[in-house]
Amino acid sequence: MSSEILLEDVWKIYGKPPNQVEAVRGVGLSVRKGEFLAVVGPSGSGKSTLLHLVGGLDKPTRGRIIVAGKEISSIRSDYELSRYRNEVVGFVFQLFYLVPRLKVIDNVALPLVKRGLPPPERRELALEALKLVGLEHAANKYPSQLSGGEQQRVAIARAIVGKPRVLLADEPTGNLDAANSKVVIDLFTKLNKELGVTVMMVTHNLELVWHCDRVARMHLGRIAEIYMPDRYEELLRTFVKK
Amino acid sequence: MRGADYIYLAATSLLEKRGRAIGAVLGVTVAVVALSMALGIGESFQQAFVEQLQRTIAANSIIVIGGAAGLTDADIAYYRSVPGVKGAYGISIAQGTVYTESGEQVVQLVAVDPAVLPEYLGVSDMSKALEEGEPEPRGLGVLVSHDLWQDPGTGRKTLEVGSTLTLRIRGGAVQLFTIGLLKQTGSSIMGHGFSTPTVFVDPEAYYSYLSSSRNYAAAIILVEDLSRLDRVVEEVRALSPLGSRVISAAAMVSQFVSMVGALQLFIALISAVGIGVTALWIFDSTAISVVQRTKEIGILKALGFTGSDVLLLFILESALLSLIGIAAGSLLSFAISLHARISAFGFDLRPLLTPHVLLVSTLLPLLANTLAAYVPARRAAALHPVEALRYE
Repeated sequence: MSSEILLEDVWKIYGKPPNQVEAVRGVGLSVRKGEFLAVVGPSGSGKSTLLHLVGGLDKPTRGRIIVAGKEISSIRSDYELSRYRNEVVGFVFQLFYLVPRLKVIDNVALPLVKRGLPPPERRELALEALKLVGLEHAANKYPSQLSGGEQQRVAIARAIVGKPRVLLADEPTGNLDAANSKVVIDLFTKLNKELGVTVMMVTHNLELVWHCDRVARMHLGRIAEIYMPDRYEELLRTFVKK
Repeated sequence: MRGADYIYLAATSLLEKRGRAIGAVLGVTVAVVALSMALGIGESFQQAFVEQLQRTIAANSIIVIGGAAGLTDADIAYYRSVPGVKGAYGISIAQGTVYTESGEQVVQLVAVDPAVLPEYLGVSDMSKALEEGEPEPRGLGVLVSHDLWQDPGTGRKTLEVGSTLTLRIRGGAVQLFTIGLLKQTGSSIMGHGFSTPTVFVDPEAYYSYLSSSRNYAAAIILVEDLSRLDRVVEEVRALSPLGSRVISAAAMVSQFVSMVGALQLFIALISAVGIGVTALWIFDSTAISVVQRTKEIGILKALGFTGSDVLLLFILESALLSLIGIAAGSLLSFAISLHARISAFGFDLRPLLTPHVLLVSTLLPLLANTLAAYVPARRAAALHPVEALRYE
């Protein structure tokens, strides 16, 4: 099966010697189209940085990143990179990052606003995305009128409204209780299995790995190990031990 | 991205920070009113003064005020020979006394060719200056100024058309006939006004009965082609005796316009302080907004908005504030201009909101505020998405 995400010897170094920090150190990784990959590891291991690099939010110091057949590590123009973020990937963050002054439906439609879609078409697609996350009734509410779990579902609707090929989630359940975490991970699974969206999720919550096809464990900026489902028990034991 | 969406996003942001937005709108409104009133009054003053000047001095005339020796027939002939000159006429002025019902009065005797009497009086034709009687002096028949035929104190007529007038001049006395009564006018081209009662006499009669020598205090030169006015003025200046002053209407108007222009600029600069203060407010407000919305900028970038989109959003916010303030300020200025009257320099001035005034008083605040917003907006546009998202 073809690679939807391909990383070749990717490095991300912040600062200059002697104070430089190597956040990502020579990572090589291939994520298949339609795969659900979890990235786990201790804080500071480079998980979020790796996700930002794949999402085009940051540029690698060296190495190649190819997503959906496009080498994004070589894109220099802000316009091209912005277009990539708008059309190819969708982001879900731990802190939801909804715009408080906009109604839920307007928050969800933001990526389509950037695409220049006419309002009726935007509204239709945004309602469709909200329906998918079970929040069509909250379309005209403001984010402050929703619970944390609902806000994260709105953020997921916003991430998928533009029908991206890749969904990038950075600790999506980090701010949610167990019940809401389950709702969110079920949604990711549904998007992955039913819509074929490739998902790359950074998480500390090891219970979630059971929903994933593979798990990449990072340590000190490198991928220390890749786990298949048959080794998830071992992964959990290892982390519990540590 | 559609223009309407930029405006919508900018407008929602303004609603969110409405306190600061209202302050900025009020600032722009006051600045626009101050600037448009200052410029409008200046414009009104300029227009009133130029009209007055043009009424007094015909545009196609050049006035030569002779020096101590005055002007001679030879000078007048030289002026006539200048290419582009339609005619040149000498003006003699003398002082004498007349006896009327009001008693003895000092008068100014002016002998000017009837052909240029309207130019001298600053009217387009004599019907505009004549109250009663004949429009031109003839023989010993003279025209008299308003304050000679009407008692300024009582308003009673002291002379009628046909009244005789005994004039004493240079030790002799001459019997004149009043054949025309002039209206009250502002001033003559000679600038003497009519504070002194004036008698206009036929030049031929003047030189036959009242003066032995043909010497003129001044001359009026009429120019055929206005486009050649500057050249004619130069040649007349070169031909005039030492100590003479050559004045053209166009030169006076142009000199005055540039003087009023400088005055207007000075007033506008003072009024621009308001614009400067508002621009500082906008700068501060935008800078605060950028800091407060750093995470929002991060998420917009993560969703695909470019740095230029972010820049435009912040600049649009400032532009929207400015446009609302400009609209309010312009309406207020219009209302004020309908009722406000200022009396200055003998003119009743009303702020004139000409297209030029409106353009300057609206574009200047818009430009200043946009520039003020640009600096923090540029910083917002340059924010790194990851750093913006992590901002605490």
